[in-house]
Amino acid sequence: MTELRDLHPSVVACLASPEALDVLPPPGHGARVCRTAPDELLLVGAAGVAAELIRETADRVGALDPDALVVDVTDGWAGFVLTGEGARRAFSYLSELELPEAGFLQGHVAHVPAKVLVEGDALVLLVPAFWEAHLRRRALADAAPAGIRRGGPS
Amino acid sequence: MTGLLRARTFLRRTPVKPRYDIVIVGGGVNGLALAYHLAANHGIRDIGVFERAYIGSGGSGRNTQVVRANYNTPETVPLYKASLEIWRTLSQRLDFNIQFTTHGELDLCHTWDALEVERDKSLLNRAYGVATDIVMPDEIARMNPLIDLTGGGEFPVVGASYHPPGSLARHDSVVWGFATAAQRLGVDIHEGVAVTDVDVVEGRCRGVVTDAGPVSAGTVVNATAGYSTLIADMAGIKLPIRSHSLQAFVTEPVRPVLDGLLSSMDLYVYLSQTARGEILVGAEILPYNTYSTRSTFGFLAEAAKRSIMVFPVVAKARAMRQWAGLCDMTPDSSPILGESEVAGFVLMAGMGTWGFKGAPIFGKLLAESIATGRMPELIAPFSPGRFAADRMVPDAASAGTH
Repeated sequence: MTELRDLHPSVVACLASPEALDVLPPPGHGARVCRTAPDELLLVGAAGVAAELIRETADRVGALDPDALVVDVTDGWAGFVLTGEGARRAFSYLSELELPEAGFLQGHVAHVPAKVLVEGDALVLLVPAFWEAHLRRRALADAAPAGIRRGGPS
Repeated sequence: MTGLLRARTFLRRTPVKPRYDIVIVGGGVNGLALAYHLAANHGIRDIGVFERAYIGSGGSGRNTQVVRANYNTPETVPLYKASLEIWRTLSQRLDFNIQFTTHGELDLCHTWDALEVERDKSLLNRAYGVATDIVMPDEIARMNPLIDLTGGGEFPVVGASYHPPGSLARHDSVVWGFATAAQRLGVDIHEGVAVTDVDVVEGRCRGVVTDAGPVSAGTVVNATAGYSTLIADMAGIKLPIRSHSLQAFVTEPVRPVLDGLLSSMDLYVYLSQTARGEILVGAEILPYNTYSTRSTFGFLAEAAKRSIMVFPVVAKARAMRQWAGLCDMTPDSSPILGESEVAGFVLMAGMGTWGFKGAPIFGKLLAESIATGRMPELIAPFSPGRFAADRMVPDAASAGTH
């Protein structure tokens, strides 16, 4: 069974010099790291951990780059998780992005800019908050041949 | 079927050919729109677009994404109206989501003089079939209760014009949409190749010199922004253009608070909210000439202050990012479109603060002009010769900010 579930992650942006981001230690709280640009990364964690992530990351990156900026951007993103054995097949109906075994990539999903975190058969999708309803509607419609259905919140 | 499964090739690299039918200097939204329309509408595909950096690296990727048709002259209103009509279906035409969304535009007036100007504009717009209405403070409050009708306690709002077709489109997506569609039709787009000279012999343009070698062409189009005078200089043409910096900033993301574009006609500030929740704030062009794209703290402080006066929620959000772009301003605040005094050297320049919103119609009609040799009626008033003939299209009141 392949499900599209709503996800409500904490999202924190860290903007700093590429050299600082290259050596920044991994975050705690089970957060994932998405390097969106040489001088910018997103930390994606569970709901409600943004303040902790910001405090921890600001301390760490501040020691490497005093001009670094760490900002809670949770409100700017809508999260989804595509799960189940057919998640990758369902995704192929939504995007031309080639999925790695694990990791992060960015590009178009359902015709809108998106961040994609690959964790085995689970795909975490982040789209700008404005496109939340669009992504949900198009994903369920376009990936219908892959048996996608809407699941409960993760 | 949505088209998602069709193969989509992003910019492929092709060798620079020694000759093209048409060379376009500048890989911004206007140059790419022209290339697309030449290929799509007229079958002219032997086109080389030369961009010295990367596509959209100039004003096309730095503007504040506003699309509207509420201009102030009988020449500009129908022109931008025609552009808006193309914008509405551009995603489908280009097979690329340019994230075009219509929200409406509210232009606040804090003085009766400004409201009178807006009233005149509304009448003119209506005469050309463009929806622009005058609304009073009680209606403004209903439209968005977060607007401060006291203007920060200093500049009370006396009314506004409301332009329902006012829209936003994601600027990067527009550039990529035109570029990929043009490439699919056979246009060569050369990123990282600079034009270093223009070859003019006996009053006729024969091609360009690039840092990848000379390239001859039947027609050369100067579609640069910020540097259009420098490219024109290479052809021996003095353009009546001055480059100014225009800046903007965005706040950290917040939940949706602003649906549409909000501007103040007296305070020279405008705001919108991006798809990621950032509140985008822009203001007027800097008063002095510059090629600098450095941001200034003075702009940030002043634009933040003015934005808070009309939309106090901004005060609760921290500024996250700031940038600047160059605007090529003409004496009448209107574009320059058409063949120059040098045969075969075409100008698509002077794009000021209107280049983004006009790009689809500028590209379409200039392509028609190049392909047929006949100047379409809608862009005829914007010919390069209008300055010498004293037939300017003065529209500064529409074009000072966004």
